[in-house]
Amino acid sequence: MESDSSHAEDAGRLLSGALGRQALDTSGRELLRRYRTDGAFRGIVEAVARGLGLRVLDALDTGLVLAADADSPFSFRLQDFRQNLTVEDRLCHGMVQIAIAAYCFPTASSLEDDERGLIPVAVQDVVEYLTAACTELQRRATIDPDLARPELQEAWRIVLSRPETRDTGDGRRAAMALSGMVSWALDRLAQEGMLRKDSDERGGRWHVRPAFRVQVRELGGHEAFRLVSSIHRENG
Amino acid sequence: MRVDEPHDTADGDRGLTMDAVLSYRLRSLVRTGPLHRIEANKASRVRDLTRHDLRALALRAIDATIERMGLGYGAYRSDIAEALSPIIRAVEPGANATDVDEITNIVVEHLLNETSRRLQFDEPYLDFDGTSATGRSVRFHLLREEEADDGSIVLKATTEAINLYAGMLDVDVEDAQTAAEAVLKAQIERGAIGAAVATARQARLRSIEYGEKLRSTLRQVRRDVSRVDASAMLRTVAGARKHLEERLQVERGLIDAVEERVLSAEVEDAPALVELKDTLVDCRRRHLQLHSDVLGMNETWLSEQERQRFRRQRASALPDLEREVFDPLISATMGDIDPILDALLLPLHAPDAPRVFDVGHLADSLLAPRRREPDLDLDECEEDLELIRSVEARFDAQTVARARELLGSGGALSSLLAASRTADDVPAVRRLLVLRALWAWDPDPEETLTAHPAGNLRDPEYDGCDLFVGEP
Repeated sequence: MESDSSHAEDAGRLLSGALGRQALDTSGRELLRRYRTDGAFRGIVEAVARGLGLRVLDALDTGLVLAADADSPFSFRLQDFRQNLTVEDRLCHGMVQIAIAAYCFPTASSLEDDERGLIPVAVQDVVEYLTAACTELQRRATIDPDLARPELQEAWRIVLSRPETRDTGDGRRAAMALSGMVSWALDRLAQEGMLRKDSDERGGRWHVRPAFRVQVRELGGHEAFRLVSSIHRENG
Repeated sequence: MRVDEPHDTADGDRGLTMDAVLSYRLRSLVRTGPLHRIEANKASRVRDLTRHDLRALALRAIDATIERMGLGYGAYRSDIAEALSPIIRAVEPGANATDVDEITNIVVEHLLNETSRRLQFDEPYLDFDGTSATGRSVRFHLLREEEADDGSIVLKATTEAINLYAGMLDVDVEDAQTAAEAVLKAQIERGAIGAAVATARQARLRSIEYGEKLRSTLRQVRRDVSRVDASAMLRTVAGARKHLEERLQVERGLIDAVEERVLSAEVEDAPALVELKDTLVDCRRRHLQLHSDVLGMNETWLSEQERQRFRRQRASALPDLEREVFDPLISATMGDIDPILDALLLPLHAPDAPRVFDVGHLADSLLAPRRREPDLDLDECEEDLELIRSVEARFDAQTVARARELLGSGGALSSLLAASRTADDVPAVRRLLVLRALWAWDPDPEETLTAHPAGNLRDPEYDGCDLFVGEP
């Protein structure tokens, strides 16, 4: 019979593979099978994860999907995201990320739908999605903002003040144009193992993996909804 | 407002009222909607598709996908193009490979529902219960793309697509399997081998569909056990076990019957009989695997209940991200959004593993000689090797003995080279000394010498870092 330390080591190996976003090899697949079928082993994996401030959100065929508690050393830090941003830049980056999630999973049922497979998303798709929503609000706007008080400007005005795309002259995209921001955010999600780059069509095309749906479903959707509702309550 | 379709009963329309039968049949009918739409809308495409029947191409694409699912994991787009090519070229003889790929992509993307971001097809219908009518909708996928184990992207057909292709939308999969086997038995008995092959293919289609159906239930259990009805689950497992045990028994009998016929078959019947046997063996293999999965389903059910008991329960239903999050946010002010932005974005990202700094590891990495990365893509299987000639030694025995003698005394490489030069050794001795010193630098546990850095090498023939060589 295998010792406790051997089970703990296997649990660590399974979690390490998930954190390192490694594709599963034969032994990784065997560990995943054990996680799914052996209750005692799953208990050890989840206990080790809890100790590290991690939670197992799901066990997909590609491996475990993890989430980190806010105080875990594995928690994603916003300072890792982009530094030296102005308040407007931060807001644009934020809207871009929410737009990516909403573009991929517009409805509650799409968050539940595990038959959907890979979802393609291109830079140009997200830019068009974001600007179409902003342009519609601009069309309906009747009040001009108080330009002296930028905090009273709506998000759509700030997004529309950015160029959709701008060349740096050497074939690259300007980072603070919308297409540059979208490309950067998609690339970042790909580094996190939630997307995979597919081609350079439409400004760069990625495939959304099931792990991103799990992440948005389990954490992102609810948290975003709670926060957005809190704005409305305060204003209402 | 429309509501989702009610769940169809496992018994099809048996025992339902007239209105319920109408509704049931209607739900079957609206599932063909996407196929009619691709044909109806072909005039609006940039490419002239007037001569093509896109419904036929779509059905063939589904068929080719199911066929590849039968062989392995799923179909590549190139497999679909290959399958569609004869139909496309029959109406457009001048079509080249690019034309075929283009039309294939139009068909596949339609079946993936690409224009609606690959969301489910959403087919509305009116449900009449005898007194009132309610607007409902049927939601389903036909094809989906998945990442295979080797990283390639493959297409798979859903159970709805298999049903659609088999033209048996209102027939229960278990009943269809049982019926197909009864027909198959009769066909084999009366020697209608050609017809039996077609029936066996149909039976395999049902095996794939049945497997998908059970796996979908298993996925649902793993995702959220609270949303699966316990008694329905127990019924499904018990029913599946019984059904599969019957299939395995019947298939064994059919395979035996075909094998008997193979022995006495005419030459011209033999290929069809072999295909029939292969198809039946494939069905049996699938059912054996499914049977083993089903045997573990009860345990999975119990352990998932145990595990998910401790999972954080969702406080409320999932939100519509577009309508309830994105739209309100884009019209909110910067002053409102800024304080919540960090909290809004954090849950959208995966955990990030911090790098652990280790001085020893860093020093080793910096000081270690540069090594060639092993090529992980290379096939590591051992080849059968044959020595075709003896390997010629690069250094003769005398040179090796002299170098060993010099190294035996140990010391800086520069001193050993100087001693060799003074003794008027052949240049090969000095070359061997340098190579042995470099070899000793490599941290090989079996190496009998060690080498440490000793400043710059001063030598008329060699350049670089001097090494102090000696026994460990």
